[in-house]
Order: sequence, then C-alpha cells, then structure tokens
Amino acid sequence: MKIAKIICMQAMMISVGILFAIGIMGIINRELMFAWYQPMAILGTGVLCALPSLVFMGFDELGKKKFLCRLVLHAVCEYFVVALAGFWFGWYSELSGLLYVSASYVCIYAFVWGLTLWLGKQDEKKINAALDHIRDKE
Amino acid sequence: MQVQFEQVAKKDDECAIIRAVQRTEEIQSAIELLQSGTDSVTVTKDGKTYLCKLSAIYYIESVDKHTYLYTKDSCYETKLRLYELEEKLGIYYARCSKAMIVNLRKVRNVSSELGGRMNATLLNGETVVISRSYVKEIKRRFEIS
Repeated sequence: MKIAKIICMQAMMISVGILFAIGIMGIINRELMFAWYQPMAILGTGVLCALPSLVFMGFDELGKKKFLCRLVLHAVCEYFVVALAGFWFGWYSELSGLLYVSASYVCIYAFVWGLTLWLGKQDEKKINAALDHIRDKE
Repeated sequence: MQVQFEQVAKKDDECAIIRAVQRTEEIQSAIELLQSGTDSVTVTKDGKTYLCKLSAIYYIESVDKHTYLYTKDSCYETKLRLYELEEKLGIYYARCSKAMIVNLRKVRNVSSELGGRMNATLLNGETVVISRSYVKEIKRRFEIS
C-alpha cells in the first residue's frame, strides 16, 4: 500500500513536470497543440518514471556511497524512460527534439533535487534554532 | 516554598507551574524530574550496577536485542527495551532511527543530507544519523511546519 501510494504521488508530480516542460516549449514556439492521446501518454510516462523511485526504498539505512550509486542509477533509468516515451509518443522525431527532451530532463531533475536540498537546509535552520532553546550547558 | 496540589479530571489537563525568583539547581532537578517522569534508570557496566540519571544520557541504542545507554564518555547496558525506555523518557528524547533514541538537549546542531536524512552532532562530539521519517517527527515535536 505504501509503495502504491509512493508510485501514485511520484506519477502525479512527474506528469505535472512534463506538462510544465510542454508548456514552456509552447511558449517558446508560440504554438501548443495536443493530439487526443497525449494526456494519457503524459500520465503513462509519469507512472513509468515513478517506477525507478523504488530504488530509493529503504534508503534511510543506506550509507552515503550506496545512496549516491542509487541516485545515479535512478537518474539513468529515468532518462531512458523519458527518452523512450518521447520516441513512442512522438514528442520528438529528430535529434534536436531528443536534445530538447534531454535538456528538459536534466533541468527538471536538477531542479527537483535542488529544491529538496534547499528544503532540507530550511528544516536544518529551524531545528537548530529550536535546539538552541533547550540545549544543556556543558 | 509553598507547594499546592490541585486534582484534575484528565491526564491532558495535568500541568506543573513553578513560581520562583531564580532557576536554581533544585528547581532545575524538579523540572527534569517532572518532564522525565522518572529521574534515573538502572544500568550495568563491567558487572557492576549503577543508577544513571536520565538527563545524563546522550543517546540510547539497541544492538542485537541489547540496549546500550551512552553518556558523555561512558556506555552502559540496561535490561529495558527501547520502547520501554521511550515511555520513561521525557519530551526531550526522540527516536532518530528504528534502533536509536537521542536526547535532544544534548544535540549541538543538525545538518541536512541528500535524501532528507540529518546528521546530529552531540555535545560530546559524536554524530548520530536521524532518519528521514524521524526528521518529520522531530519537526512535529518542535511544531515546525
């Protein structure tokens, strides 16, 4: 149940991310057209992209090196899913299209981890401030 | 000092207010006793039995069904299980992983890591890892959104 919840949450977030990237592309090209099957394709890609997240299951107990290895594995798997889904659903037909999809992927992936790090730093500051009030004097 | 006792109906309504000119050592001990429920726990080291003050504990770890208490520079074993100790300890003790409880009053600072975990550096220089799920619990404890 917990795994299903994680997959659903991730799928929704990734789908929103893809829609955001398509929106940006529409703004750049000043044109945004959807084939009837594209929303389903985006959702399907979201679900497929969510599956590699399983490599992070139980990562709380992992050391730093193992975590970084899983992070690289996750990034590579995600990229293959995005590139393959883009090819299947006709999001690109030329090399330039693949390059755009790749660039979008790198930006979104870096943004998500950057945001996670930033949120972690905010929590760190808040917890340290709270600890200042209760800390024993030694 | 005058001591007053007022009976209340519910556990949630229980509250102790100490009015004093200064926070003396005695008052601090009384505060710690009230917050901790009990003042000390029976521990063993090298075959000898001691009473360890809860306020002296830095962290408690469970390893292979044995429970170890770590103070500033010593390690003791107790027969109590982690969940039993959790009930005895006060609000300043928090789980930081499945097998560890840390005394938040002995944490010098925390630093976030990739993946939502945190490293807690204790006042004696030791470092313990706070798992992601327990970071949420500590945030809830401090009422951090």
